[in-house]
Amino acid sequence: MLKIKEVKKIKKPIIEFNERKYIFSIKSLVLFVIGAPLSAWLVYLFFDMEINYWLHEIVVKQTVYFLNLFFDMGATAEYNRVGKYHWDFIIPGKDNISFETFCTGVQAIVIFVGVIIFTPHSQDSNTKSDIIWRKTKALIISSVIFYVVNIIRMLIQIELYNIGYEWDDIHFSISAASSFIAAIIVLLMHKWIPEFIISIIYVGTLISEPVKQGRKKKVKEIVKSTNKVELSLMRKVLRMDKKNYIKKIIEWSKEYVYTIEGDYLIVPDEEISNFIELLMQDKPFAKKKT
Amino acid sequence: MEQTTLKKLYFWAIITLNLLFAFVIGFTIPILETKNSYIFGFVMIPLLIILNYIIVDRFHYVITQLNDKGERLNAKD
Repeated sequence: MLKIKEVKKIKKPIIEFNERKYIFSIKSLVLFVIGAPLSAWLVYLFFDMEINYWLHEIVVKQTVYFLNLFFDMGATAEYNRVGKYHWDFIIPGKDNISFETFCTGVQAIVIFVGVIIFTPHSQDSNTKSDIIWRKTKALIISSVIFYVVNIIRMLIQIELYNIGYEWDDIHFSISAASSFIAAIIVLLMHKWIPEFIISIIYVGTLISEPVKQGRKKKVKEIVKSTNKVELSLMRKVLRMDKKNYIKKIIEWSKEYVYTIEGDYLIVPDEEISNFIELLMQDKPFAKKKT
Repeated sequence: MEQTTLKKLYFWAIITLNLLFAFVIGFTIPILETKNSYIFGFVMIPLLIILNYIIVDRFHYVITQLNDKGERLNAKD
């Protein structure tokens, strides 16, 4: 509870990417975390209901059409209202293959539908002006890619089964391998809705902000009482890579008359208040624009 | 002007695709064998309507942007 209050007090960071600004409300981020998996699960349950077996029929019949077109297999689709699922593939000379909701690929589609719909919108009016269009494009293209890849997966599996491979050997391995497409969809999604990846980075920034502020306060107290601060602690506060940090600290030492002695940065008495002011800025030691 | 024509053609193409989508839904329902196959229409038609709204909304957005750009160029002249 205390942490939530601390996060609420923090000045919201602004992430700039491709000349657009991304600022998210805490409410939209929470909604994203809860809403995306919950909606995906509910939509999946909806498609798993018997009233939605039309989806099974469409997928089975399209797969059968392409099996016969490419491999001249003589496959057929059979509707049999016995058991939980009603559609089967009939392959001449082989055991029937039963078809279930997971075989439609709808579980992968609904995960991305949940993620895309609940991805938070930036509070910047320019960035969010075309978000609905971008989300729609991402939704349609990701769903179509998953659907097509799923049909191709079934074509490969059933052809391998037809030429003599054991069903158990090819079913799980090829299904797992075809999930690589999810990584491609994430990359494509980043093209249209960078809000998805940026919102994850944003959450990380919000969570780490109290730690950063705590470190700043610690440095402030140390400098006030001892006139010096450990260089490694300063680097943690500034979150800089070693090479860039060394370059910058030498630059600032020359500019603000600090000295470096061993592992410490020494701040002269008359510079302490200025040092603290520069350190406490949103961008520490950045020159203010005049 | 050329850009506006291209945009119009683009919107014409996506509206046509949406109409074809509607045709495919209507054409598919009677040939489905599954019990309660009309549910296919109940699921797809609302999606079709939402998509139609999004296309019109995008058309409005693009036209507004083009008009604003035109006004800014006229003001410069």
